[in-house]
Amino acid sequence: MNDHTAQSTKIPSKLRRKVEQLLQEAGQDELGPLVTDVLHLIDEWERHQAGSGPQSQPDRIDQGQVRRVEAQPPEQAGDEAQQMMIERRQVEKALAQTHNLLRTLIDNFPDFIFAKDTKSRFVLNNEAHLRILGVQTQEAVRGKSDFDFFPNELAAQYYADEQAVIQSGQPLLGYEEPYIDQAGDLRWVSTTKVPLRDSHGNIVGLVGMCRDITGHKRSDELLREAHDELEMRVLERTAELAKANTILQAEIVERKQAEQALRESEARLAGILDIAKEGIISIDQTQGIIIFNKGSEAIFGYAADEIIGQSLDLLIPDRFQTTHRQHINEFAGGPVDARRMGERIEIFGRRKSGIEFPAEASISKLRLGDQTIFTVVLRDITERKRVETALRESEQRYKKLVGSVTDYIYTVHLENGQPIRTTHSPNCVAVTGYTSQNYEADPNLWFRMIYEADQPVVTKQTEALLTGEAVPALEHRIIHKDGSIRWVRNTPVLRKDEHGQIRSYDGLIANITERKLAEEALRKSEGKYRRLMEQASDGIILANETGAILEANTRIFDMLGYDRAELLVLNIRDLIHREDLADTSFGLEEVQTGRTVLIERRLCRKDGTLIPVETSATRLEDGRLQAILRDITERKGAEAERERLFQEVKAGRERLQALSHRLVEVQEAERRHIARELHDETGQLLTGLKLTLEMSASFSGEALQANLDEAHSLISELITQVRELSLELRPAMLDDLGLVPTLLWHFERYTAQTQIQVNFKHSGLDGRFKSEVETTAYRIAQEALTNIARHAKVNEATVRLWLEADALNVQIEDEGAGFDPEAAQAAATSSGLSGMAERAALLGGRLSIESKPQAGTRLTAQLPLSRNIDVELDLKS
Amino acid sequence: MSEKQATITILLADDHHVVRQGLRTLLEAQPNFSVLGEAADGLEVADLVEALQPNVLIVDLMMPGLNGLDITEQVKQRSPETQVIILSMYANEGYVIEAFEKGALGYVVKDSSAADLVQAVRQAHAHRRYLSPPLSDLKLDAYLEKAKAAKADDYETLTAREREVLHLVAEGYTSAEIAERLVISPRTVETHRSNLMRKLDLNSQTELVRYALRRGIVPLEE
Repeated sequence: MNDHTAQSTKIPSKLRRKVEQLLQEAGQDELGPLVTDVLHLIDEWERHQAGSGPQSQPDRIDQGQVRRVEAQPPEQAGDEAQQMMIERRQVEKALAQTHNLLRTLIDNFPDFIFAKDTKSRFVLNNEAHLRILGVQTQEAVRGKSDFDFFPNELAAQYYADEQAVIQSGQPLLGYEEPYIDQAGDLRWVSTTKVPLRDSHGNIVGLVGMCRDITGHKRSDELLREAHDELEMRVLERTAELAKANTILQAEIVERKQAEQALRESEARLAGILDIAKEGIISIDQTQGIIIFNKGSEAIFGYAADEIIGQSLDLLIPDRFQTTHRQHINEFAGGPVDARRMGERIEIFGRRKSGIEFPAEASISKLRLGDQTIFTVVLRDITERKRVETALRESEQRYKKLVGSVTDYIYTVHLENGQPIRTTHSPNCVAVTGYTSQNYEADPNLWFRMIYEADQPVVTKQTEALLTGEAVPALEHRIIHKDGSIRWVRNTPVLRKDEHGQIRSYDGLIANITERKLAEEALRKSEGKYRRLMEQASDGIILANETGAILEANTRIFDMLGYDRAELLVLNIRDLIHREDLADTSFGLEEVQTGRTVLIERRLCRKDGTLIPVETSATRLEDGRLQAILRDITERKGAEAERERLFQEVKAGRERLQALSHRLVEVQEAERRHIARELHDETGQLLTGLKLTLEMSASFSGEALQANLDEAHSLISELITQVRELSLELRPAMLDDLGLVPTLLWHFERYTAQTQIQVNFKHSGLDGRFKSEVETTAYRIAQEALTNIARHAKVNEATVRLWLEADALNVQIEDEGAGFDPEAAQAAATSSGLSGMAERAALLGGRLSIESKPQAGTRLTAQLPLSRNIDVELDLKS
Repeated sequence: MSEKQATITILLADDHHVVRQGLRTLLEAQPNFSVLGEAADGLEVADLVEALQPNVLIVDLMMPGLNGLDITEQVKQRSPETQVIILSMYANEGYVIEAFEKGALGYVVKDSSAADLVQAVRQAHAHRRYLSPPLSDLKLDAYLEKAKAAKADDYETLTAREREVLHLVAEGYTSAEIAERLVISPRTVETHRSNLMRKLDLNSQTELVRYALRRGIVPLEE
């Protein structure tokens, strides 16, 4: 292996030295004379070609060159000359080999490389470009231009661009343009075109390099930019490479002149090799490294000096070494001269540091006599991989994110603004019943499945979308494969390319059928609820959880006097009377726990008046609060009336009780009085009379007479006493003579006993009244006068009797001490007020008391005269 | 002496046997007095008077069945020639007046002396009125004066509320304004108003104002 390596490095080493030497001589910026030389060579080549005829044209230039080199016999004699000849042939051979090597490199470039004259006619094209043009050989395109191969408008554009470069001398770098490939497909390339100048600086043509970016075009902008720069640099170098290649071609035509040119070209090419960012590595059959350019140094971290002569294995991770070697051997024996490496699998390189990196490489082989040299052009794609991975991850995240809120995604691919094809994610079957394949097979299925009535809106949405507007999600119906109707939410997302052109759009489909059905049900139930609300005789208010009023039925407006607009800005709290808010908890918290709260409170109407309501508050399922309000004004009124009646009955009972008590007291007092009268007065007199009469037995004559007179006197006194007693119990006069005589009699006695003068006025009392009426009137007057005597501290009183409205009115008035009627009546004291009132009430009449402390008293009893008739009728029935 | 010869026939009506015996003893002690009979029940008195036609009926005021006043009335209708003397426990003018109105000619209080009763019988027989002491015509006049129907001032029969309403109506307030001032319902005001107008016998607003002016309720200002 070492032998091989040593042997194989011999020629390249020599070449290398020459190239380096040439490079040094030419310097970096010495393209000018070189170009002149190249043009010169081209002319000669053309002339030569014209002379030699097409039949001698080799299939491949390099093979032809090789053949010719081999066909050149050594003919000159003479040692020196022969020596020189040998040397020269060796040089020529080496140069030819080098040239072939470089040509191989160019042809192996996947990018299209071409040179054109000032009229944009092809001068040189690499194999990739020839393939695109659909021809096999360089000869097939000679003198032709893009107009011969591309549609007119494309060719015209190319021509215009190129003429601009030629006219202005300014290169066009890394711009994108379309072309049509052999299959007729539209593809995109990133193109760089730079002017070619002769040694005088005159522009004599241009060099172009195009990279097919159709596949990458939709990739991330970052990646593209990163590449662009790289492409541009490669292009620049390649341009030089192309020029050098041209030079080489010329050298082939004229060997004599070629030597120098070849040397120069070698130097250029070697320089180009080193300038290229790509790693360019050539190995011999034993995988000994013979060329290792600067790009390779940068990529692998080895210096050329330390790696040349070493095995390629150093640059390959251990696990790939065996496979790699096999591939190389297969490739060496195979019919293919160049191919891209790792077409099916990723390939990796190994840096000096031992770190592996992903790489993209192409390999070509070149047979030089018994030698086969392999050249690998390799790119470190670590950064691209990273970006790709990041992109992929980002894309996955996007899909995942979208998937989480979406049932499936479809993509509509556009061409010239028209949908040409759709792709549907597999989940579509769950929603639509159709599979991805169904959609793929039928480009219009996606639209046909839209519910017919909804198609116009979807069309409209799509149209709006394609104008580049931001379009909101659309909810529409689709018809499932099984014929049922589904609701979906369709959220369109535009996909634009880096020029802002719409390439496709995604539709994010969410199945919202359930929600729609629920909404529909809710709407129906809402409608039902609303009708119920309006029909209700009670007021109904709906509020949110804070009590803000959301809705109210018509009844509420009637109850409260607000109209709808006024009510909807209020909170329920605003309606509740302040005192009720303070006294009772609002109840909201309790309602929030889900309980129904029944509470009575007063609400404020718009006009400020209050209305008592019974409120039934509850929380609805959707969290809103519902309050049902019942106007309980009437009930409250009835309650108040009931309460009043109850109090009246209660007071009546109390008065009755007090009266009964008093009646018993009065009765007892009366009896005590009568008993005392009988015992003390009547009894004494009778005893005296008895003694007097007993004594009469012992008297006679005048003494007897005196005794009898004494007895007579005692009897008269007795009669008076008994009479008085009888009258006090019940004046018979009331029955015999009626009210006025009895009252007159009573006043007389009253005045005699109390010294109070009674001023008596009456009118309309000519007839007699019912005994009850007369008795009651008499007793009330008697009682009232007794009270005056006891409390009023006056010496005059007035009693009035009159008839009015079929009632006998009795009024007793004084201007004495007076009292507080309410307090007196409440106390139900012995004043007899309650007794008088009861007496009046028994006849269906009433007693009114007007009195104020220090302002006198006026009692008026109104005693209906017709009352007894009712009683009699009652008795009869 | 012609008087002596003329016998005066008497019927005694009293529900007490003892009293009747005492009176009979007392009356028969008089030479020309003849007690024709006695009655103990108020209801039989008029029949007996009609049957016996006595010159004088002495009847107790308090009789079971029918009292002395009513008996007097019956007797004077059926036997106008019989003069009636009321015997009573009560020296009360009201009774006396009632008795005289019914047609009695004498009223004798029971604790009067026997002489008073004899006098009363003789006077009655002579168609003259008799009042036993302490009663007298003077007292009767005084009583009649006292008992005369004295119409009370209508204004005084008004209740305090009715007076308030009267004042306010006279001053020109409407029912609604009065209701507001008195803190009662307008309907109640209307009731008071119609009551007071009836009591004062007023039939229109004009009469009401005129009454108020006359009474000085509303001063006669400019």
